[in-house]
Amino acid sequence: MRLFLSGVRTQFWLIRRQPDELLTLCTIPFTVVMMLSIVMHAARPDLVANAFLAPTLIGLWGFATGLATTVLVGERWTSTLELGMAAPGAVHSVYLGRISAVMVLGVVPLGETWLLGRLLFGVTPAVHHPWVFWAAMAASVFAMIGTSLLLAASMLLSRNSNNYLNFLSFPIYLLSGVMVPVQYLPEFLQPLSHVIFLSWSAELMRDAMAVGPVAGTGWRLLAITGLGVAALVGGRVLLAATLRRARELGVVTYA
Amino acid sequence: MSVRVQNLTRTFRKGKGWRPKGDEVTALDGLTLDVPDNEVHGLLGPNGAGKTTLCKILSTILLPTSGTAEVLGHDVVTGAAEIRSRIGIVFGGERGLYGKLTARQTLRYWAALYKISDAPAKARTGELLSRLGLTDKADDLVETFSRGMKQRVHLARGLIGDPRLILFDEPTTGMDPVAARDFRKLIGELRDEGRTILITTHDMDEAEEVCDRVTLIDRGRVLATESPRGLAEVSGLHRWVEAETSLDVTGIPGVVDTETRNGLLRVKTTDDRAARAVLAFLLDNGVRSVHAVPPRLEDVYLDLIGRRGMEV
Repeated sequence: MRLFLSGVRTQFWLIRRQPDELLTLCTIPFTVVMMLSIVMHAARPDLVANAFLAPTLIGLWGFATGLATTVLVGERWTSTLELGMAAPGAVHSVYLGRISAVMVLGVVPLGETWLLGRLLFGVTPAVHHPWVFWAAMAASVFAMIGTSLLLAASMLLSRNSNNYLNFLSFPIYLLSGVMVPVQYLPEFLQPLSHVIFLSWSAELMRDAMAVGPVAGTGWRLLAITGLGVAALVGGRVLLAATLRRARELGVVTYA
Repeated sequence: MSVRVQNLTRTFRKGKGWRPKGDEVTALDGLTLDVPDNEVHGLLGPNGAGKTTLCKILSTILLPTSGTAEVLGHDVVTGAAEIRSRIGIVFGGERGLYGKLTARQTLRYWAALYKISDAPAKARTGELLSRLGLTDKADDLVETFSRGMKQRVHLARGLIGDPRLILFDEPTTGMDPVAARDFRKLIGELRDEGRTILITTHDMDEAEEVCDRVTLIDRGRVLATESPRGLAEVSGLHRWVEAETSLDVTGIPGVVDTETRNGLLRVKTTDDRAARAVLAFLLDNGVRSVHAVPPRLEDVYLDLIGRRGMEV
């Protein structure tokens, strides 16, 4: 646990000195304006919740791909990965702590979106089931930590990680139902959405904001958490395999 | 014995994929080496000789292909965890540092990775910052440091776990002469504390000054292991003459090479007889400052490894 917390602390130290790493926050207003403009212009107050959720979850994903996922690649570039491999402490705990610190900041887009909605459009969405909403948000942050570790370990293998991370924006926004609810997508795509935890997050958070009762909160939270755990375990296994392979071959990258 | 390496081989495969199947490249080829406790041992050799590969294996970053390597009595494959808590690694240059952390934060981070709990980590950090003259700059970002100061951060980082063996990989790369002198002084202090030091370097003067023994490595094999002075005597293929002159001696039989540095002529000869001929020629021509000198480590290095220049 000490190593994990050391990772969290170190990442906060690093971010404080690199405000440009938080550029994702600067993209949120554009998404907020785009989404709310469409909804307000179309006079569809029933879609306000969607318009608020999209920038929130896109921001969360942006923190994952823009910052959390690059932690390990950065370690490779600075040769601190090698030093970490030679240290007696479990290096993956430190990296998980660093990724978690980034993902905790991933909640900031939520507040930013709410603030911008109020300031720019005079709209504040109602959250009729706040406990469900916050539970879904917490589960989503956890799942995003697991997903980020998996992505970070995968990117460690690539020499062109930025290309892959850039690619993982719109396809995920679309398939996860963050921008458009999954049920509006072509039917053949919908099963794919179910393995992306964000689709469960988006649906549950939308329901939590709606007036009606929220069905199946428990198992839907379980789905988000379960997918997060699967990604976390996958990331841990992949990272261990990648470091073991680096010891055997002398290279970290796959090609 | 701090380091015991026997018939160590390490090969790499070129190519792509999870398990590359390309051509095999040999970095270490049956290398054998012993480094006793409390010795400062230099690893010398051209680029690609295998020095860094050996250091990586000893620090458990890399596995050997065959042969054995023991560090402080533990095998690098089966006893990696024990080794990691007892060694320190010091890189040279910019590698291995977080520019956006302060010196103090850097040490606190690595203290955690060396399983030092908070209170002792704070104390150890303060102690190392003070020892390496970084107290005044402890809360400045490492990226703002000069090369010499960065090297001190490297050193402090390498010492955080109070290691019994320290591996230095090109530690004085890019250091100015003053910083390099301070570094050499520190090496002496570390030895006095009973630590063993293994240092890879291209700097022959440095090796000659700080190392108890040096090992010359080329193409993954040990060419020789001796004290710097002993190595010079053992290699003894050539005899050297130094003189303050600009006379041309290249026509004298047995003169292999000459070089002039700061007005000092150094003449490499094939044997004692040729050296005596050069001495006689210089004295006959009125040169009064003339000496037969033992070869420097650099001379031995060039004799044994050859003037391969940029070749790797």
